[in-house]
Amino acid sequence: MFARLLALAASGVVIFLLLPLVVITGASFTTTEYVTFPPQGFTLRWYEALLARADFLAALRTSVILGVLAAASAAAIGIPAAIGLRHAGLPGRALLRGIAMAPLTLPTIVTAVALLQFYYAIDLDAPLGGLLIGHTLIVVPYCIRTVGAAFERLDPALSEAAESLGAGPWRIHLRVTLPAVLPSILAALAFMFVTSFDQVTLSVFLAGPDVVPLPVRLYTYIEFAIDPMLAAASASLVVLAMLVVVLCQRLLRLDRGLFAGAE
Amino acid sequence: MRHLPLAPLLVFYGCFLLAPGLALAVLSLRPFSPTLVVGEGWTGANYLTALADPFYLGLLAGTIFLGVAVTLVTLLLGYPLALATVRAGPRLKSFLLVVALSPLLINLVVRSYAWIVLLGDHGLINAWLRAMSLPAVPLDANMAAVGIGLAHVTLPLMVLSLVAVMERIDPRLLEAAASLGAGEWRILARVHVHLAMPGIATGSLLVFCTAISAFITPRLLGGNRISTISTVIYEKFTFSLNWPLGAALAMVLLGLTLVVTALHDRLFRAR
Amino acid sequence: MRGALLNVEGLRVAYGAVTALDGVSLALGSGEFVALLGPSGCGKTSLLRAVAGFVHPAAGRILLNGADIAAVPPRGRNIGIVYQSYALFPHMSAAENVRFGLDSRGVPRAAAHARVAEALAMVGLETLAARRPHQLSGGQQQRVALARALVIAPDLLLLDEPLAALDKQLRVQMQTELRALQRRLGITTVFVTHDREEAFSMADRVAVLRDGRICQIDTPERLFAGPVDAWVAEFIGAGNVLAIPAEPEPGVAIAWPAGRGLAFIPHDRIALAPAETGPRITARRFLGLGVELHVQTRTGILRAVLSAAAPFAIGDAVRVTVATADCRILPPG
Repeated sequence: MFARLLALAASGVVIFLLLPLVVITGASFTTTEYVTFPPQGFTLRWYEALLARADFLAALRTSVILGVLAAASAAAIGIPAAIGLRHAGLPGRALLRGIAMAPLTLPTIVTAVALLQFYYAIDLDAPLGGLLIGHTLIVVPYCIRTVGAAFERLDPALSEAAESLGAGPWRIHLRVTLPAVLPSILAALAFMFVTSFDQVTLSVFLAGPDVVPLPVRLYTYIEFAIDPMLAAASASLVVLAMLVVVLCQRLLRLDRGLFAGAE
Repeated sequence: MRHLPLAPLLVFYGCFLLAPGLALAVLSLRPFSPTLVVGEGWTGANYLTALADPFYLGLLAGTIFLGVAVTLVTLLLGYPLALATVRAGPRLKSFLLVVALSPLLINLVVRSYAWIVLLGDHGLINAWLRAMSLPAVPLDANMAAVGIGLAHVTLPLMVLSLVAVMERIDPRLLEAAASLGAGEWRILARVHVHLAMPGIATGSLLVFCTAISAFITPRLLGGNRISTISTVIYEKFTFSLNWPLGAALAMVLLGLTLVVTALHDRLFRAR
Repeated sequence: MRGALLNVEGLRVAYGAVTALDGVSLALGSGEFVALLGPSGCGKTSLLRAVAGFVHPAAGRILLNGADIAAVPPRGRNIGIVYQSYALFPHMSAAENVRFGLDSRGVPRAAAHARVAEALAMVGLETLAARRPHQLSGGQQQRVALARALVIAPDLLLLDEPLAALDKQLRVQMQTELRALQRRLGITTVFVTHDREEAFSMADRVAVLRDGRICQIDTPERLFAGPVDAWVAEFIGAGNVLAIPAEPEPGVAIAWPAGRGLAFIPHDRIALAPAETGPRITARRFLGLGVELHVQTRTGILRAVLSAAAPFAIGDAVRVTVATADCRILPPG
């Protein structure tokens, strides 16, 4: 009785979770002019229509550039920070950890308006630069957390063994510790790219007329029309996100596999 | 010297987190000027408006109510799913975890779009209801639509928090309770919920904070009819250009988030 | 010890207020294999890490080949280390792991290649050179770690519980192999362990550590026959340690020594004879080559090891006899 009710309830929740995903993907193949589910017939014309839209492709390009730059900048800032926070004897370590995670605890809309009025006050008129700063700010805690956790899992005997074998500090970092956490660094990069690519709230506030990331383009398009082309765009984004997630999982499993073997 | 690797991060945060934050706080204390956007001098009027004006007080109450409602709904939906997940075999378990995380795969705009398609007056749910000759339910651009959308957005946070804690509950404790003659419902209510409390608390905190500060979902699913603090902040910064009041509202939202987080830490971290 | 390869003199190591090593002196001759044996927290690992250079002593000297190495960083000490976790570099193959130390020393490519092949062959892993650590079994990983430590031709080999992660059967096999390899190479070795059987079956000499001091250091045979105090006798399981009773007990003919302290009686120096009354047998453990019997006397349980044919069962009354020469007095320790 209990087990059955539980299974029933869980099934209901599973349907609730998957419903939008299924409806959107299905609706993108409909031959009708309006969105409907189950789809009527099967066509790829909405995907063709999507590929013919220069504004969507430009927005996609902007999002990809922004995501790559944000992930790279966050890694450049976050990896040294993760290395610095490793040292147990670091004065004020707990406080510094809290500060490092601060952008995660702030509501995104507050970060967005804070940056918006700040750029206005300092007269920063570079939408891509402004977006890049905001996106970097939002993703850098993920880098510190993921890479920091990989460093925590790292056997301290690893760098000692390297040292006893004659390696200097730079060689230890470049040949031993960093390569050992490389899968986690790659996973962090992929995750940061997706997070940046998905970010809407911040981008809605900071986008300029000529610099429009894809989610903002979708956002403005929805206010004006709802048609199956948007479903096609949505389904494409879902597939892209899934690919990145699978990649992340592989990398992280690889990382854990390496250490499961060493332990 | 040992802090050197942290220098880039601290400089970056100083320039683009601390400085904008302080500037926002300063802005919230400036008077509004219809011609200049930001006037000269200092005033507390924006906070007085944000916290005492009946419209904004109602807005604050409505946003908190929305946050509480979404938290309760996700708890009600998340608990059975999390329980089923930890009790499942390895294959079903990874399937359920992927499903629980699947909303995170979909862009917020896309998710909102899907719910517009499903919930609107001419949406699919009402079309399906009509096809079954059932009465239509009003889900177009109202609080219920926003709540459903937000529940979908935040459910992964709740399920993950619950699963993380439930995984650590020693099954022998539940077996012991069963051996003492307790039925499954009684074990759930008296033992399991109690043991899962840290997960319930963390999940509720995450969901509540996300729900009260969400912007895209209320904006798209609420149409122009539903206002939350976030949508009003957006209006103050884009349409009415009353930046000082918008800044004060943002500070109130930040304060609310920090108070709830501190309360959670006080109640649950100490244990 | 004059002409010793490793000389540790009055070494003191402290972590904050906690003293890990309190005036330890130790000398190893060339080619010697010494085990550091003690319970956890006794300082054996601190001693190893101080010799390796990862811990800075508060006082005392460490001489390697007669030279003080206090100012030499770990990378310059030419000491090979094998860790309990093996500490293999997870992103490198077995061969790359072994080559790491040669690369760090700037050994030319061709020479390094030959030496890596030789080292891997030495531990019997030439066919698995391309495997990553997680593709190797625990025993194979242990061999890679050993090859990596030996390929640099170190002056000294330090082994930090290298076999603790292996299961019992493999551990015994590796003990034999490791010792044979060490003998063949003639490399001076310090071996840290908390397993007494391992220490006694492998080492030339065993140093027993307790609370940051070396209680006793000697060959396994002499340690067993003559523990310096009651604590060492009990820790290494050399024999019975009993309080000397105030008055004689019927059926117990032990030639108790005179003086203050505890009496030490080796397990195999106790004669038991069937009797009508007297102390009784409370437990019997079959050991394969012999049998261990527990005899309940008033001063405590006496454990005697007899030939497996000994005709005693639980509950039997016995007469206990120990000769004067087999019962010594020991300080409590």
